[in-house]
Amino acid sequence: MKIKHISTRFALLLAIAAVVPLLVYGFVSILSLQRGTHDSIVTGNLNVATRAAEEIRRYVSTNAELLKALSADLQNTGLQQWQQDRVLKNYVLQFREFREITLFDDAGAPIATSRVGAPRVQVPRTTPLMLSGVAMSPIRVDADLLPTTTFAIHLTRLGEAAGWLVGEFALEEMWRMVDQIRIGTHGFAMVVAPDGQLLAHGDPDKKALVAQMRNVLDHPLVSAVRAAARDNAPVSREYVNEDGSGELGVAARIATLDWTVIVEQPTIEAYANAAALQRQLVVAILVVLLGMISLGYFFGRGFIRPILTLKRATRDVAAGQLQTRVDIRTGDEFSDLGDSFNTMADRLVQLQEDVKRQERQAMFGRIAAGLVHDLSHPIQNIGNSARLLMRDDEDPESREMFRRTIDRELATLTRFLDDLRNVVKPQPIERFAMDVNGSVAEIVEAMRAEGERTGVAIETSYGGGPLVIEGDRFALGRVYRNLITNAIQATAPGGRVSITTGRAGDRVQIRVSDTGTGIPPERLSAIFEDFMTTKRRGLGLGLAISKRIVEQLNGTIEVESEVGQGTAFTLKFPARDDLSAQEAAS
Amino acid sequence: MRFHDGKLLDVRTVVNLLREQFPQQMGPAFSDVSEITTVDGRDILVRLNRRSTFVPEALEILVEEPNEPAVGTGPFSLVSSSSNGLEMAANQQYYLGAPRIERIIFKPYASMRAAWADMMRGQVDVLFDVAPDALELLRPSSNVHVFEFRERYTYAILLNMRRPLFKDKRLRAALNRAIDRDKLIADVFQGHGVPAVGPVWPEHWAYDRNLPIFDHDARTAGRALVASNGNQGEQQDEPGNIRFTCLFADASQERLALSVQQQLRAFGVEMHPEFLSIDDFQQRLTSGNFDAVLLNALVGPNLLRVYQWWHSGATYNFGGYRSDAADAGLDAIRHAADDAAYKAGVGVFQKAIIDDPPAIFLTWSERARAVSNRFDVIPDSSGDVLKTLRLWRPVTSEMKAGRN
Repeated sequence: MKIKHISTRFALLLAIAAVVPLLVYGFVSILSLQRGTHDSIVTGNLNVATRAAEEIRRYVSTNAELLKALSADLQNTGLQQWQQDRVLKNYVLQFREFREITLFDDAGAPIATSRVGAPRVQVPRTTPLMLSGVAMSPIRVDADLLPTTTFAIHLTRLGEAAGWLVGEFALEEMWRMVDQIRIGTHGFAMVVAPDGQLLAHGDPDKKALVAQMRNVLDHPLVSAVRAAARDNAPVSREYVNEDGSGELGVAARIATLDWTVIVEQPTIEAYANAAALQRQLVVAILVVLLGMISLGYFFGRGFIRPILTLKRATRDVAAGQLQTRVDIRTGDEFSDLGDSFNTMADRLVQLQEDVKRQERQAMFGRIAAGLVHDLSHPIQNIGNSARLLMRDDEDPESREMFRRTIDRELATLTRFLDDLRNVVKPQPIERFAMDVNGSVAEIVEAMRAEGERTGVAIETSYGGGPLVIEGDRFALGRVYRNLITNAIQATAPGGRVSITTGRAGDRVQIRVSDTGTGIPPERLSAIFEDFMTTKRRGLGLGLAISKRIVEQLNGTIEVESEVGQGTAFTLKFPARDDLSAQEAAS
Repeated sequence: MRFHDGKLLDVRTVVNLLREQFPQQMGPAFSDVSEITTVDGRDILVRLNRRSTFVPEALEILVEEPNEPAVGTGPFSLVSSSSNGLEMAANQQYYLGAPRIERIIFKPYASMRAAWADMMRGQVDVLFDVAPDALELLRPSSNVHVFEFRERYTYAILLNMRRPLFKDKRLRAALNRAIDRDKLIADVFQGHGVPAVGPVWPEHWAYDRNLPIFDHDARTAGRALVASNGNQGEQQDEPGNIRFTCLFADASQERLALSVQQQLRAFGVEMHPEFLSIDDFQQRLTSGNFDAVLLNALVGPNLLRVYQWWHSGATYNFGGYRSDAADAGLDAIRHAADDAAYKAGVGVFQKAIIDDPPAIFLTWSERARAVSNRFDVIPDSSGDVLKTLRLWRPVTSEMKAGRN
């Protein structure tokens, strides 16, 4: 797209110059903001997840240690059964997470229990996980919903097996810990067992997943943590959850338990502040951009106003309004340019006046010379013939010849004067049906003697049938005479002037051609103007008058010429066959 | 009004129901009633021997069709019943309008937590009772509405006056003063409860707040309990000069029983909790074969229920409690001519119980119902949304959108 207006270009230039750096800055800022926000959120959430993982580990380990301490109390203090029973009951009251603690003998028979009724726990048969000497069963979600595990301590005395202390441990406090982790409004934590079982979820609406024993092994962070388990490093991911919304999640592993703590937050919330800042930045950039474009546009317009003034003035001068001047007072180069323009315009006016004066002088000279030339010869002939006629020694035949010469020259003068009069005041055209052939032949025959006198042959070829037009016989006679006279005068002796008539479609055509000198192409277009002639004599009015007459009769006149070959004038008039009978009658 | 099977509930049937249930409902106070007869097709005459404030309160009877105990007149009718629960359907002929909910299935759970777990799994719409420790976890859920309210139930350990141990009213009063109810509420109910410092529901209009209460007084309790002879002379496997067994049948009360045991143990009182099945518990309770029982007893909102628990010879006086002062107070309430006399009677009774307690009063319950947000629940002035169950309606998606 080509920008045509300097003001627009100027505005764009300013905008680009000012805003491109701003845009680049904005782009870099947004990128930095996004990256910084992401890193900041991930770091913060990782801290939360890592801290939560440590808290959970400590929580489980501490309770395992509590049971271990209890086992020491029971083993080393020689308590009676009722005392052991009381200690166990006090323990479950003091430590809520222990829903039951039962002391078994080595055969698995209960000795003392915190339960009012029969114990529910049993001596574990396998010990998949050892935590500071305490066997910990896999986590299960019991009928009461809470994830529960069983701690078991194998008691020994003097190196021999002395029974088991088994405690059912509900990770209720872990739920509360997880519940307390809230990132923003919708960021929650969850805890996942090694087999992918969901142990806790901080989202109140997703606790049902725990109750449903949801396995989240396919969670992107669970698999990522498992993959990175070797270096035990926390991981972070952005992913789409099962609801189809984006999440930013981090995960930290609890190495001793092989659990995973995941903290996830909807990306739309995590990046809300950054997105708001980003929007503000974009809006600011757009506002500045718009402002700069507007400022550039208005400033540019003021800046180029002198140019526009000069542009308009130049157009006016080109249109001929040479009086146009500019008033530029910027005090800078534009003021100088305006002054130069005004000086130039003044000079143009002066030059135009000079040209006009010279043209007038030349025209007057040409007219005077033409008058002298055209009038002197007939007047001289008339004078000579009159003097000879007044002599008595002349025979009648000569006297008759002198009288005819006088008549002819007078006719020439009359025609010359008619031409001048016609220029000043064109004669009205009277239209009648007329036969072209007849009118042309009449003039040709009248001019034939002139041709013979100058050694130029006049040839005619008249088209067949009546070539009737609506014309003025006398005005057209003048046209024919002008053309034939010009042709004879332009043709060297021995040359030839041809006059042909005929039909050209619905028009009647008269063609006058010669084998004369021809007209140079550069002058050809001006030959129908007043006082324009290619001849050394004459006012140059004949063709101008002829053209005017032809056009008054709705005709056309065309010229073809080639220097050294000759010139041909073609007249065309609307054919009026319908007037043939009228013409015949006249 | 009609029964679920379409039969008309006429005045004759109502009179028969009153005649059947009033003796049980009023206990000894039924002696105030001399006659229950029909007046015409719409009116019933209850003729009294003397003024009785308990008659209006006793009108809360069970309306069942004669010889068809499962056919009533309520908004829901029984469809089926088994040990796995029961099913009820909306009574389309209910005189106040058919319920919006067409079917209700009641399902028993061994514990409140198990029921809660099923609700979390989406298998239950309403929890009759939410365990205190589940409240904090359920309350934030947007899928469940939790409605908490203060109940007219009290946790109390009913003492058997037939046992020599509890004949001494000073010992019973000392046991009450030995209990730190605030600690119990904190340890067992996570703060959800009100200390039961007397036998009368503290929100009853006639409750006298200026009278002495069972406040925790370790020194007084300790002195009294040490001075008590208790079980001395009996063979003891465990220390403690006062020992008794406390029966309970609700597994969720185990922690309460253990906590009370622990508190009493500090005063040398060895309470031995014993868990029984509900049938065994019922049999032992009604037969008087117990030292003490842990109960969650309905003793409000009216004082007829209090009368039924603590008046000598009353229906629920399973411990054989007899106190002339308490009886005088309750009878004053029963025959009160005006509010002042009623309130005076309540005061006498309150004081009598403080001096001669029939039980160890622990806490007034605070309950919570949980309802899935699939239902639009109409609140009730009492706080118990189950009272408006008839008016509940399933939530449409449009209603959910409106709420959001």
